[in-house]
Amino acid sequence: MNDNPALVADPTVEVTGVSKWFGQKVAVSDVTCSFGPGLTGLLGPNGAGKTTLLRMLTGLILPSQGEVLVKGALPRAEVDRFRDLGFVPEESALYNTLTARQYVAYAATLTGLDQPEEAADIALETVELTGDANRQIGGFSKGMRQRTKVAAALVHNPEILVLDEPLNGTDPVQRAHLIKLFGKLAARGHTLIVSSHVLQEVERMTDRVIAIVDGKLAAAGDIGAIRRAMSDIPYRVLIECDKDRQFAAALLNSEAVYSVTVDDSRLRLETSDLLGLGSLVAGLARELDVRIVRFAPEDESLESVFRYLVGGR
Amino acid sequence: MTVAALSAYNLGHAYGDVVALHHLDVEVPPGRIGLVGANGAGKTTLIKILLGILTPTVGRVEVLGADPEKDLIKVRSRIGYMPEGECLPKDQTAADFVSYAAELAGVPPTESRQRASDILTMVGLHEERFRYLGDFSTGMQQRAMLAQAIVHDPEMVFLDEPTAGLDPAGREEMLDLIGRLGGFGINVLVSSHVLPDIEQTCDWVVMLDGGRVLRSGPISGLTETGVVELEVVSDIELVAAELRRSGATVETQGEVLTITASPGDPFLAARDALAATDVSLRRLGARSTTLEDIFLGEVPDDE
Amino acid sequence: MSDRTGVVYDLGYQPYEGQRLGRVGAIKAMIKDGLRRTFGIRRKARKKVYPWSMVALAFLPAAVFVGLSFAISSFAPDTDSPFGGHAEYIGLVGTVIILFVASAAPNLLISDREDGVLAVYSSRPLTAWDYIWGRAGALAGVAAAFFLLPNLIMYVGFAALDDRGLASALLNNSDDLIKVIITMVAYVVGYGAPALLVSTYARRVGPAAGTYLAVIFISPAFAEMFRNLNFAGSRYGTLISLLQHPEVVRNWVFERSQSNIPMISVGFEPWLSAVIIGLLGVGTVYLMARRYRREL
Repeated sequence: MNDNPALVADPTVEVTGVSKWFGQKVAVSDVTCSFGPGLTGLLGPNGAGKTTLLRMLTGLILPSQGEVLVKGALPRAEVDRFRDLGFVPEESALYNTLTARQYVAYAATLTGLDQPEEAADIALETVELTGDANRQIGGFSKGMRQRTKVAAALVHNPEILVLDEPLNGTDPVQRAHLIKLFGKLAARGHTLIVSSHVLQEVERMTDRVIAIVDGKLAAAGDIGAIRRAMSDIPYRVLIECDKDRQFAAALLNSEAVYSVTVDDSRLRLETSDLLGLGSLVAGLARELDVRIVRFAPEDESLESVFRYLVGGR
Repeated sequence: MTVAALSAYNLGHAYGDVVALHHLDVEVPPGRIGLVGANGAGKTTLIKILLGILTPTVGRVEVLGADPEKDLIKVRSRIGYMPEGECLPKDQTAADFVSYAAELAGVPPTESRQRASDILTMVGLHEERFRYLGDFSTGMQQRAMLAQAIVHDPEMVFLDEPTAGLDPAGREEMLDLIGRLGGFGINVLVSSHVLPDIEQTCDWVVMLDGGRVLRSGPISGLTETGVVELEVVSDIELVAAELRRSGATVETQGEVLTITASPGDPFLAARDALAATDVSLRRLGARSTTLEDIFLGEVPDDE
Repeated sequence: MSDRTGVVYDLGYQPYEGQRLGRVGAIKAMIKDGLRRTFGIRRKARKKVYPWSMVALAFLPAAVFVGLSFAISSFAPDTDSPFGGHAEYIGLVGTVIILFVASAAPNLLISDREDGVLAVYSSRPLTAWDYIWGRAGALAGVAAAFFLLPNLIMYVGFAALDDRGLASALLNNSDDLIKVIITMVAYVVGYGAPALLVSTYARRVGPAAGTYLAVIFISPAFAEMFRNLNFAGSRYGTLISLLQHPEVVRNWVFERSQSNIPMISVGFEPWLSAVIIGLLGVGTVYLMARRYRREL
């Protein structure tokens, strides 16, 4: 058990004191964190340094200060390191005149695989592009382009996969399949680092996140634990019930509740003691014969946590 | 009798040999409508037919009671459109273009500037509006695109992937703006892959798959299950046992308990069981399936 | 005792209840936008350089001639200046028009298509035809203005200097004006249509302008080549000179010699140029319609 939730016990990617500036602009400022087997979400507002960090992880750019180590070595130092890493960039990085199969096989040859065509076929099957493998990428929809990029990143079965907005443009079916695929890879021990703006999906994929805001590490670790660590921000709870005002008044009497807003049989409470509230609510409801149809913490989602991190409530 | 926001009668469309839409028969009441479907399910084709860009091979549609094939101008004078991707000229300023967009809809030049200014403020573009659109960030572009879609006060607006490329804060603001459109008296059709967005902003959903309508109905109706679900901090078996004693049918999984049947009101039963066992509650509510569950459930999975 | 009252105005969304001008308003707006786009008005400064240079090139000589004629009584444009009377001046203006529409047509059409702005047009009360006429009309209007106005300056300027007095000079030379107008139509359609056609299919402004200029300026060389070849049907090759068809019409209307024009020297009649220009115009409109009805 380590003290710093930003670090993992058996890291494959280590970021130590990393900063990056472009002229006067400091894009990343003194970030220390690590990633290991499993899936970690990387979050941050646009322009906050997240993309720059991803590029440093893959060795596309070098830090101005600090060090990035992939399996103990610098990402670009040895040719072998390419084999450990697979990258799905956000921008379009495909050759429109190649077919999917050609492109993925090409990616395979770049990593020195013996049988690039076979590897390409397997990778394409994993992302369900076998049927369209021989069509030109230029004619692909956005979702298909995404899957092609994922196949190219997977073709050499790298231990570490860095994915920048991999679900962009995919429809719900493709998305569900890709999320399942990522889960399988994570379970098999690969290190996946996924950056995404659709936080509900990040929540489904993982419990561990690293958040970069204004170039700095803003939060790290288990999502629920991060929320609990924000102890100065009270929890918000929604209760739907009858006898709304009566119940509100009774709840306000208890220590656990800071404030209650009543809005047409919806009560919105602020409490710093979620546990305490949960213990007393059923008993109080029974005493007053109140029928509760919903009791739901409103701001434990990653979206709420993120909103607090970026500033504002 | 209110006019349907849109209706399709035996609508079919093919691009040469490829059939994009088959026998669509649907009638959607005014309000906030979500359009979901896999890539290639026909969403874009449907929108193009509604806008009058494409003429259907078979059948017809009506938008706010008018058929774009017969009354193109009438339909187009009532709608706004925020397409997927870009729709802004790079060499004009936002203020200039949005006011031009108003004039194209017939707003006199003397009023278009004021109207554009009001709408730009509403979507949150302030000093930026005097900068060239080519220099805008994605978030600003989406707002400018929304502005041109509503500047002429349309009765109905089609939004295609309105949150694409936005970061979480931007998404939230966009969804908030979209949600408010209903309050302005504007009907909304949102086509999106991001199902939680649709759940948040729409009341009715049309699901397409392979060119056919899978479902069309109010979201609440589709997602209700009649099952009550509760989650506790610990001691779930105590609660389960208490509920069973009262005659309810109960299932547990981890710390989550579902009441599938109950002799009396399941909510009261839950409350009483919790009070009796003195177990701390985490969450209680009627279980609703998400749109995603419905969608994936309906679409055959070849996994 | 005073009453204290106050009021708060609702600054939220206001529906628009005002006038709506319909298609006419939309087309007017499009033409204005077309003009602004062409001359770089309300756009970045560098977009103004090229069009306004062309304006200077087209007008300055006319203004200079009229000015010189006022100042130097012996200055007679027909013989003293390289641009002579209307017919010669038209030669200069013709070149300016080519240079101008080479950049104007792409600016009018390509940005709307490539930046996705057609989507905005498709949600406004106008049809694909309205769009085509609006854009083509703006281009034609500007080209016509380039053509007519300098000539008008000269026409009125010289009439004012005429010994017989302004009014009678205007009347007496009025058939000159009619010739100018007929020639104008030939130049505007003959040079404008190919520019619109190229811009209907090209994806970027630079290549569009370049392709258009190359085709127009190189075509006479090909016509010359066909003139000198001697196989059956080679004479028809002289008709590809897009540069020269409006010139043929000009020479015909102003009764000037058609020397140096390959198609004339192989025996074609001048009115054939007018027909070809007409076909170019119709063909361009047809192809634009086909392209734009798919997207708008």
